[in-house]
Amino acid sequence: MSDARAAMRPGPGAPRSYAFPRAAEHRTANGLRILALSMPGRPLAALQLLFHGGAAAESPAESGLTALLAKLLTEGGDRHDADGLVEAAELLGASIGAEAGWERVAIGAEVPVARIAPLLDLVAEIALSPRLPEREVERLKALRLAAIEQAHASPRTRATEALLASIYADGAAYGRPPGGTPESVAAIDRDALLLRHARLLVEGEPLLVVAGELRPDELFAAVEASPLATLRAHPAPPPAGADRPAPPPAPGNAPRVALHDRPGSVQSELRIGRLGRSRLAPGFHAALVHGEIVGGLFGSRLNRVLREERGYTYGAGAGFDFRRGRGPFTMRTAVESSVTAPALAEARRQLSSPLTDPVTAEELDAARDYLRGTFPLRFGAAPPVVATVAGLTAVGLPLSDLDEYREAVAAVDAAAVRRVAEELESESERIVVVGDASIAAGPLRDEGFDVEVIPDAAATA
Amino acid sequence: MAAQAALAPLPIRDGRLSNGLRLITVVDRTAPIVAVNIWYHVGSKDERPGRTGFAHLFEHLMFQGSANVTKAEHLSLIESLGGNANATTWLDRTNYFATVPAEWVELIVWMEADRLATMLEGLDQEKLDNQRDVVKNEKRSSYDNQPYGNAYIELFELAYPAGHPYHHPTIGSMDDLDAASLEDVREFFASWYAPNNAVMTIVGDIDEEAVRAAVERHFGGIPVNPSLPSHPDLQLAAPLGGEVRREVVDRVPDPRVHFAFRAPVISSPELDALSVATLILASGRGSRLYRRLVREEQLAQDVSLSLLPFAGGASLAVGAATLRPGADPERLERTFVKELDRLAAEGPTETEMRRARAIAESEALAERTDVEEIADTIGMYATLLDDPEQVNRDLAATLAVTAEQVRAAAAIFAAQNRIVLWYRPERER
Repeated sequence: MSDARAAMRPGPGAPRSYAFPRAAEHRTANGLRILALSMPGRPLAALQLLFHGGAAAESPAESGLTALLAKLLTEGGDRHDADGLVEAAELLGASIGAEAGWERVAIGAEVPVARIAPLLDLVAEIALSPRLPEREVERLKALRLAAIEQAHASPRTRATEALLASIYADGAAYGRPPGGTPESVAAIDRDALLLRHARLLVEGEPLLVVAGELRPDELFAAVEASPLATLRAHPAPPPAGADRPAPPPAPGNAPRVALHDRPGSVQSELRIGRLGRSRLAPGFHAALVHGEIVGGLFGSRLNRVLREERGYTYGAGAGFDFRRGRGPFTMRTAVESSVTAPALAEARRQLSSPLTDPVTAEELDAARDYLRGTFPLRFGAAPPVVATVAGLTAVGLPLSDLDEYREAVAAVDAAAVRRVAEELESESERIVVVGDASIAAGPLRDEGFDVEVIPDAAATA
Repeated sequence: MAAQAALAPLPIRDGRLSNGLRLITVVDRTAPIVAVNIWYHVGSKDERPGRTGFAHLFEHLMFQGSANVTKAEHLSLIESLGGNANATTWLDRTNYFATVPAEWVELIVWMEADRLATMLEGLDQEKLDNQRDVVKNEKRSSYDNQPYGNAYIELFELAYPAGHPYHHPTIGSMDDLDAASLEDVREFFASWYAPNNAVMTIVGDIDEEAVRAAVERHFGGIPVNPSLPSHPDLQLAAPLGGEVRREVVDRVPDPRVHFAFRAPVISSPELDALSVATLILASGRGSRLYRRLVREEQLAQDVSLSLLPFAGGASLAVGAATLRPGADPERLERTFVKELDRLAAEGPTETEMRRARAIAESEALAERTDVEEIADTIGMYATLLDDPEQVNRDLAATLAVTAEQVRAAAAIFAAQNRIVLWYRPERER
């Protein structure tokens, strides 16, 4: 029976072709750049209006200002108050929101294609003349402060934030949560937000990206007829050094662990990180393949050993976070408290393993096939197409990068992956554990780690 | 409106193999991908006492290999095709789903058939022990170690009486997971995992005849289970009969109030009106609860209210609001309830009805570009309602709901049908 089934195992059928949607480009007289991606069969369009300048450009004192401004944009403009704006959008069947990324501020929306034109007017209203009402400023500040507390109470977020703070220098934006710190958020007032908004309109080049079942010429005409046509392009200020790394730790024999005590935790959140690489650095595709093999795929080395062999965890992952500057490389997992030490030791072994145990032909195939094959699935709907175009342009890459992607991934070999691993290994390793120190500290020391216990803030408050 | 015109009915082709496997196919050439989805009509409601969490543990074991697929090969292989796959277990069912580039559809069908025909040949104690540990860590990660992580477990415990099949959580208890044996796995597989207890739905860029023939080829030889067990009785002996309250003191940053209300079952036509009611109350920043609690009175950091539809007994409407630091918790609860009562007394406005319709239309458009979602919805309706065509009536039914029906549906929010669960921090801020 099973022999018969084995013999019936099918190969692929006739391959289908897939092409990332083509972008038609238009620039208004004032300099707004528009990219229109036609996607037949997607009557729900997605759009993003992007402005230069995100959390990466903030000083420590400004931290969270751009994120709060983004939240406030949807609290009304010169024609609609907050409720009126939501109502106007919903009556179009649209959702509208805004958020700050590392490099830019994005106003995003989804709307049935037939109603793009009236939606553009709403987008223009909040982009050009947001109301920023005093009462909503105070309300959203209070909500942000509460959200920071909520994030800190989650062991996952707490571990990730502590890790990032340890990788980057004091004051470097990548070491902070983009939403800001309690001190910086508390200091924000309406004047600061007004100034920040004014800068959005006079720094860098605004960009509108739209995808869906649309005709580019009709979209361009609709934008030209909307107040968005008044947006102007300006020179961009230089980047701000968001990725300055922390000084290397004093030389020592034992790897250091910052153990954040969380009494009563039934699991330990484990994080290992190093300074990673810029999206623009050579070897990007090799770094993608490296990430999949080490900690991306279900069958990655980390997940295979920590989950499928040892049962230490529900899942373990690792990889690079590619940004304009050097984003972090992080490993993330949560393990039962009693196996904290062996799980951490095993995770470190797996992360470094490409140097001692070179990646195999099978691993290379699995990672390359996944990265190349996943295009049709990833880009079936309009929102991820817009997000991908937005991401490429945010770091200054041309859209042709996507056309070269699959070939570049196919060309990655074991030597290229090894170079990525070597470069990563040359950066300082940082380790954070959030868990019950009374259970985890002893075994970690026995395993040879240099453990610093950070007391529970809630217990000492 | 334009949006409505774009929603042509899905061309559903429905049939059964001679062994009872229900096979539904839909051709959709929007993207060169295919979703393959199987619903097995077995969920946590079918677990026996002392073995809670077993249906879900079993789901994990279905990925541990079969006669011709090695441990963990299933997911790794699908990834290497550029696809994705997963499974979930819920009260009424267990669903397995994969989406892959179109040329690989038959391989997925073959893998699903291989595990249904030969799963026990791939099973051993080591795999059971490993996945038991993985699932226990899933429980720790997703429930026990998260602030408010066990709220839904508490709500279900309060909404359904002890002994009712929906009373216990799908994730189970640590003791019951520890007790699960290989014999339990064999028995569960033999009882429930049969072609006549499954619906296979395939949606996407397919050659429909070829795919149906492939399913026949790979599944046709799997024997029917002539003595499929019956599902437990889900009837509730009595209404809730009064407000039920519980307070949990836990390691949470701010107080949060959770609500649950028993609601009509999935086959009830009243569910459409109730879903419009929840949309008006809590969908987005224009909703009544958001405006009143978060924006105007600033009592809450967030609010939610949504429907969890179930096959029998009662569905649940569940809601929550996290107290804004410094605000009065009693006033938060009172105001939340007041908004529910006001909808039940006065009904929605005409503008609210128009907004609800526009949102429902856009949501339907978004779902239509997602073959995975289409396949899963069809599998649900075929399994629980014996009516896959319901997917083609959903939007029209929502758009036909009247303001008066919304008002009437909101009657479930009455005090005698209300469960209130408060989470309070161990230390006040």
